[in-house]
Amino acid sequence: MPETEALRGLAGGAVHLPGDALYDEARMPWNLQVDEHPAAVAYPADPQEVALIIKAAAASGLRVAPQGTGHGAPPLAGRLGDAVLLRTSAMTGLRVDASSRTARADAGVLWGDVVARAGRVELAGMHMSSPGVGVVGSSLGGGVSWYARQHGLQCSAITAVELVLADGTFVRATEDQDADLLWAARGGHGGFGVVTSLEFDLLPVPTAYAGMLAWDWRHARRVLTAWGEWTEDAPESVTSVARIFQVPEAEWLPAGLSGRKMVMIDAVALGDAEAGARAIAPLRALRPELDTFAQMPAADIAHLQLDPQEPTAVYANSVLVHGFPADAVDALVAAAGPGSGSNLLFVELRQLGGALARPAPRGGALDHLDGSFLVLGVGLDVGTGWSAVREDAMRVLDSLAPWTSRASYLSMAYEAAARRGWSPASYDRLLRIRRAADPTGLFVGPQRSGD
Amino acid sequence: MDGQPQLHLHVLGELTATRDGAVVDLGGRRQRAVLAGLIIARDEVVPADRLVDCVWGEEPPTNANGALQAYVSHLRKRLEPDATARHRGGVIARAGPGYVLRVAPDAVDAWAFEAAVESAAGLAPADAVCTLEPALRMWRGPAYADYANESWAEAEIGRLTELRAVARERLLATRLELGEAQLVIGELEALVNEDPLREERWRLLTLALYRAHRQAAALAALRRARQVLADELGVDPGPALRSLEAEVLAQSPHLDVPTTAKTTNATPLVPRPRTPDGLVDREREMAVLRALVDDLSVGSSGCLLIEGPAGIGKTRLLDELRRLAVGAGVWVRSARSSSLERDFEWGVVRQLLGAGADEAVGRDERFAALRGLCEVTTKLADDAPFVLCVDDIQWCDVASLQFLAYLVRRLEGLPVLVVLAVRSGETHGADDLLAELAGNEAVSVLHPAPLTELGTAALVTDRLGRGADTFVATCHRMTSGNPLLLRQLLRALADQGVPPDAAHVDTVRAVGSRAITSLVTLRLRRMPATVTTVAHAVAVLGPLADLVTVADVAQHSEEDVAAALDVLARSEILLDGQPLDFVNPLVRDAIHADIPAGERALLHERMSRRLKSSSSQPGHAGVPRS
Repeated sequence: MPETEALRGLAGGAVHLPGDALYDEARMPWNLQVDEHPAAVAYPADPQEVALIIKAAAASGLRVAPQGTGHGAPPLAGRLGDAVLLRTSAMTGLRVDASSRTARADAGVLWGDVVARAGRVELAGMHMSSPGVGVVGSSLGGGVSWYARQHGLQCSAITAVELVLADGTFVRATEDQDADLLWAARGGHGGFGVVTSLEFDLLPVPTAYAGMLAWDWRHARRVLTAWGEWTEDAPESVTSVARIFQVPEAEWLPAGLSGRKMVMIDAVALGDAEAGARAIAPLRALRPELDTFAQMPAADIAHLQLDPQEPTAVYANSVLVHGFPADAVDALVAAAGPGSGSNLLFVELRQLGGALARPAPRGGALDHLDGSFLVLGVGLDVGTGWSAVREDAMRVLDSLAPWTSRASYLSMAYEAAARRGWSPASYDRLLRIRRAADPTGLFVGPQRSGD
Repeated sequence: MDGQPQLHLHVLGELTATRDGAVVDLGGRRQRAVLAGLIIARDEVVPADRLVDCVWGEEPPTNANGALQAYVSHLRKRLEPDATARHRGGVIARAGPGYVLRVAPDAVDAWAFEAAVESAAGLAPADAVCTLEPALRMWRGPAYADYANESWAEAEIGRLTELRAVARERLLATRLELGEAQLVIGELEALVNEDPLREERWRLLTLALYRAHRQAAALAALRRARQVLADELGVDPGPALRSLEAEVLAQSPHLDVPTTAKTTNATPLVPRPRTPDGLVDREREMAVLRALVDDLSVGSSGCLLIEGPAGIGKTRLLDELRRLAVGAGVWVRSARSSSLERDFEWGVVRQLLGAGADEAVGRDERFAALRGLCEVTTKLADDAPFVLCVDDIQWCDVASLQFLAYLVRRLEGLPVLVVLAVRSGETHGADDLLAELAGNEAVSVLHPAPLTELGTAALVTDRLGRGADTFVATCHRMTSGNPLLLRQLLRALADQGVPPDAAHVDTVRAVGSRAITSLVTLRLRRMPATVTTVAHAVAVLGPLADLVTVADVAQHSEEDVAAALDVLARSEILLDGQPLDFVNPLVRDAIHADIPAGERALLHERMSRRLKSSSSQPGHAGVPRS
């Protein structure tokens, strides 16, 4: 039985042990499907407090698992019993520098915060689809944003990382100093320390042409086929997502969508409205029943996808695929469309390629994505139990097996083998860096070890 | 039915609305633009095509009128959810070719702000400050922030921005009149930096520096003004600045704080009452205070005990009482006991009665002293009714406690209201007095309750903007409704720009589950080094802290210290006013305990050096303790 009392009183008292009044809500991540009972939950507010918690945990024979919002919590399931869950939510410092077009975000900052602050000076961050996702966790894992086809992965925008290592030392890693740690931070998913701050580049994008087109899912085959063809020569300035969406009845959704089954295309086009309208004209020609495209402030784009902000229990899994020809559309619609019996909340295809397909000039553990689409299946428990949801998702993703890449995007593929997240050489280097920074294995790794 | 729901529309910042304190979802930016267009027009009818302009600018969609009607109907549904569809239209009414907004004049923050600024012009200085401060606090960001670049909003945004600039100048001018020269210097420097072409700001800064006995700095400010005006506009300073310069050089008596008989008398005894912003869930308590003040103004005596745990808001109620008393033209004499001064005999009595107590407390025999003090009190009451206010009596010195007990027994017929606040749950020397008061039927007792979730929601809105339900509920749970803890939590979140949405609930948990002491020290650690040092110096100095002493001990310029004190007051770490004191003794203790050992030794060393060098000056603030 590990000794947890040594932690009490650290972080100004924001340490919660089993039995404490706040333990139960503090241990729950955003994804409520993960229901772990760590040895303690701590909320340090700065690197000094992080170091004290790391040292106390090590001295008590406990491990340490850093976590931001817990959107990506699933890989931690079953691995926290002897760990201190170190939540970074109290580290909320954020600076946006308009002249150098950079941001410095502490580990508790969310994308919505960055986007709002940067928007005031006509800059944009390469944010994820939900503004409630943490900056640090999603950046360490790669980060496919709405600007990705033009500007690459968010992790390639990182210029400096500050972290506390397993021995409690504080390191600031840049191109000039501890460059290995910076390389690992660019898509290496962590496991080499507790990251307390990231510095990264912003984009000079005040507005973009963005919105959603929607059809009843009866039109899924027609729309997805046309979209698949359109993506083949769409300009890199446009990034789009197509999805089959079984919209729940929820108050926060637009009235016209609530409770309906739709096929939708969301897209963001860099540049002015005229160029944007020209780029999506072939999609408009498919006569959508809903068309919300408009030139909008970059800050509003973080809200484009209507993701729930409240903690939610979801199952998610994904594969990378090469190409989306007519056969693949047929297979996917048969598995997830009308009459398929699928209960998934949505299946979406994120358009990759462009800068995402080319190695980023700055390098990093993850410097490109090996696939032309990321196919993501997301399900809620509709009363059939989680194993049924998982089977549903697997069946849908397996329908694309002939086109599936050997690589995985681990930020959204929690069950994939860790080595599939990187090239063999990068994976070896990453493991070497992790071992050097954490020789005793104090940190609970971001993925299960093994194959 | 409970009468009409209270609808409030906010445009001093992003456009938001609340209904009975609950946030109204106004929909997307375009839909809200319709409401913005109507608010700008005030009570005039806005033709539909102008609203179409507001929503879509020069590129309206083909069915713009239909879409506009849909927006209006959605807005009505949100603003009047109780009315049936047929009867909606009370707030956004159809009128001829367009629409008109029908709400009370105080329902829109910009209108209320404008009215407050206008009314402040006719008020006595203390009341004007109490009007302007909360009015300026209504601003949560640039006016109509979501529509900053829209041509239709430009004129109104410009007008409101100018009005705000004027209000800020007037507020500081008024505080200057109230003798707060040293405290406003920092803010005036900031105003001047923001807009160095506004001559009024230079005039006020010069005057403040002069009154703070810094003539050289005052003249330097005038030179800077002359330079800026010449460089930027190629003009000389206007007549107001020119005559000010002449007066500074001549050390004209006109430059001194205007004094009237009443203010000379009252200034040391009546700290400027803090403004009643964000007081929530205290309707019952306020009714009791009002009744007691009303009774006192017709000559009846009274005694009130306010009892509760640390941070529940006892001091705040005393502030409210002072404000009510000042409003009713009644004098207030205040004292605050401090754990540092517990052994200082008659300390509280001296704070209450000043030099008037000297003769009586000098008597050898305790009973003679008590009788003498009672006579002093009676004599004062012969002139006019007054209030005696003592905060934190759990730390009151024994002699003063005896006097308070003695006086309360003899209150009958005296137009004096005695109000005592005591922290519950601690053993202390005041137990005998409290037991005696508890047995006295003429004594009213208030136990301020923890804030409700609704009250918490109101404070969240006040500090951070409208809060998501889960965000508010977590704030409430984290703080158990303790107002001090809640305010510190909200300040900590506001310092870092945390928005009150559902995505930031874990931030509330993370920050709010810290002990109050570490919450305060964490906030202070995140402030600039000068501010931290100044807070440390105030904590070490305790009751000896004043601007000059703090500057000396912290070894920063008085200008920097004044600016730092402003930051600390705005951050709710220090009380806003004189004498310098922390918002709560807990806060002082937390900051004191957090001073690194080396720095603490240094501060103590400088303090004792200063005390030695000043002990020869009679009447100095440091004397009572020596």
